[in-house]
Amino acid sequence: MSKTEASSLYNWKDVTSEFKNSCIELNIGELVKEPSFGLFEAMSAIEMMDPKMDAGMIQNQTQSKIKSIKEGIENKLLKTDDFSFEEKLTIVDTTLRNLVTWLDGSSLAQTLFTNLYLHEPEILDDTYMKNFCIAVLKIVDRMRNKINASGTFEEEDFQPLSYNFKFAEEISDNTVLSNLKSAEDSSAKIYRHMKSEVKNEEKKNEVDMTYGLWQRMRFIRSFFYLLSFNDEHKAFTNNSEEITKHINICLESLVKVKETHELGTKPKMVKVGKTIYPVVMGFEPTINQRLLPPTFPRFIQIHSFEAACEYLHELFSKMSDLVKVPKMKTFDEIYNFGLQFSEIQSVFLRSLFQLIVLPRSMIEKGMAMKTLILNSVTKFVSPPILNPKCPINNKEACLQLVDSFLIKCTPAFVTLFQILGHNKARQREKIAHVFEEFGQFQDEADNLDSILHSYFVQQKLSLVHYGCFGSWMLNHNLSLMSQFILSGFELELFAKYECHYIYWYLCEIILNWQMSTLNRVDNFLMTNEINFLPKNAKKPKKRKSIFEKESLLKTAERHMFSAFYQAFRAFLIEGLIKSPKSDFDCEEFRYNHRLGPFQFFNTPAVCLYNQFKDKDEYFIKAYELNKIYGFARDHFDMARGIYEKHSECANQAKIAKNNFVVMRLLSSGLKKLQKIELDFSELAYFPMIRL
Amino acid sequence: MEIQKRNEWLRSLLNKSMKVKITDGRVLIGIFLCTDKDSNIVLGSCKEYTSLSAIESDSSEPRSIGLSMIPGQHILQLFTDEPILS
Repeated sequence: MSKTEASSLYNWKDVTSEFKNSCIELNIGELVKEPSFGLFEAMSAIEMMDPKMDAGMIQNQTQSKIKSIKEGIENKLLKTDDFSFEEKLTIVDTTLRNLVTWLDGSSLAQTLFTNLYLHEPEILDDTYMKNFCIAVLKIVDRMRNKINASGTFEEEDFQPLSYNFKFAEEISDNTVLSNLKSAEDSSAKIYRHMKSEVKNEEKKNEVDMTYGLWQRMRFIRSFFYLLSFNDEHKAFTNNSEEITKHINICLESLVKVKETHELGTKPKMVKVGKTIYPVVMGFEPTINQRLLPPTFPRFIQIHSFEAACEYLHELFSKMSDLVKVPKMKTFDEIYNFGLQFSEIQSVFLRSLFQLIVLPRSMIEKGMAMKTLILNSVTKFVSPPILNPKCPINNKEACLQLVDSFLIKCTPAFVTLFQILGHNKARQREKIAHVFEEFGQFQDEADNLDSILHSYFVQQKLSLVHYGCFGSWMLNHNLSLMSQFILSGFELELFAKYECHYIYWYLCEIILNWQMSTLNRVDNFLMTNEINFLPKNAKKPKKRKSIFEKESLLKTAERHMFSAFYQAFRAFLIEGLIKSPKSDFDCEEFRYNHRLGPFQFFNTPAVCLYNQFKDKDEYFIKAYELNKIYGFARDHFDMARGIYEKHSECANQAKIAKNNFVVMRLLSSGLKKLQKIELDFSELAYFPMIRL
Repeated sequence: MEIQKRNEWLRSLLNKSMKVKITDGRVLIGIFLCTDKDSNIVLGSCKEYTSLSAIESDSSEPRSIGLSMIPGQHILQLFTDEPILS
């Protein structure tokens, strides 16, 4: 409120003593208030002078000597030129630390914008510092833009508020890039000049510092270049060499930056509240405190320089992994890559992945996704209708049907892909919501198959089309169900006494179906392959299934889940795993809660609790304990046999072997157990059993 | 009775602007909503200024803090807004 406004609007009269005297007259508990004002409203009032609730409390803020950049310059506390090498190094390094802290989920106000130079970089006279600051602002702006464009974050991942800070929008990207190039070249020149001039050992530090400054400028320039694309999807497809080159520059120069870090001035460690901040010329940790809402974490830890370097190193290494992505043409490939990739904590990388795979505009997203799905189907099940040699009469009409089926599926697949952009916990939550749609697609796919097959039959073609799109969708849905359950293990959601029905569902229902689906597809492919050959051709020899490796690994998995079901069931019987008191427990509720999301699928029909219970009871009644351990032992052994032949499954092989030994011991009945230990640390869904 | 009059006077201040200076020098301007025997005050639509001089010199933006409660023991001065009689 402006001065003239304030003074003309208000006419203050001091009533302190009158007020206090009037209040004293009130009774204890008596309030002076409007009848409509309730304590419910009062409950949310911030109590002033309470350190926890009052963010503006003077004692909560350091006595910041500088309230704004202009003030700092006037009071000669901030330089705009003639920075020493040490000063430059340390300002750059501290800014990088703040950048990483922001990327890790903190707010801009508490990290980057505690650097006053970033508020108004044009005020700086030193070209190196000015270019650096403008570059950092641009980098932050671009990262923010990408994260917001992807939209795959929640409040625990990223703070989108920018508090009206400016990000050097008036300067174009190209100008910045060329400025950075000249800054880089001049830092290189200074370094080489220093190197040749300085002969004595004492001045060696100076030479190293100019080297360090040059490397930092290189780093920032390549960093900005990598972020400067507006269309990541196109850029990563077409410019992958340039991108790889710049990623490598970043990684190389990062090493040199780390080496020269010690040469900068050491930041002063200032205590603010309960945290200690690194303070260097230009930084005021609490300058933006007033902008934060009261409930915000008041003081945050700024990452150490080593941690920041590690973070940045990981960022660029993973970015080079992303360069491979445009070469992936099927949805399945990309999705599986994404599952692995999304284990990274970095919301920026997850967003970048989203933007590389799918273009930004909604329409283009749909078109790109449709192609990816089509490629997936073709690779998996080779629908005869899509084969150019297919001799059907009404090909156009059939292809239209296929097209409309794909168009129907596309939005759900886009959603599914976007789920990969979220953190693991949110992924699980959101996948449960898409089950309903995918359940419906199963019916649509089966429908499409029967229509196409009926045309084939009508036209007396020997090709088959039943179980084509249907099998593909079924396999996809089963993988989703599997992912849903396994992520429950990864997030440590299941109690030990729940594991047995989880494992049972995995091996008896999900994997069972998946393996028979793969089998069916294999036969289907074989049949149609033969049918496409000209009449007189030799029938091809029985060849290996294209799913051989996948089937084998799934068989091993199934053995493992079987074994775990049996082992956990036995542990429950023996009381080695405690189950909750029956007065307070209902296994049916737990079962339905865990497996409830699967109710939307018709295939496989969700296995109800009573069906599970029947099978389970039969099993434990039919066999004595030793025999149950014996089954588990055999299953672990068979799994181990398969895993040992595949080098990438070394972990699983180790676990299988260990558990096999334990089960062998238990099945012999020689050892009476007091307790067992379950170690989920190697693989979240295959615990190591120890006595 | 005196007490009655004081009570009525307090009620007359309800829903009017009030300026409160608190012990650490900050000044809060808001709508007076509630008070009690210990002079704890609830202000609505409250704005926080860093000091009295800050309001006059217009050097800092006020921070909007919405609903706030000021414990009686932290109140240094209280001002009410009197209508200007021409």
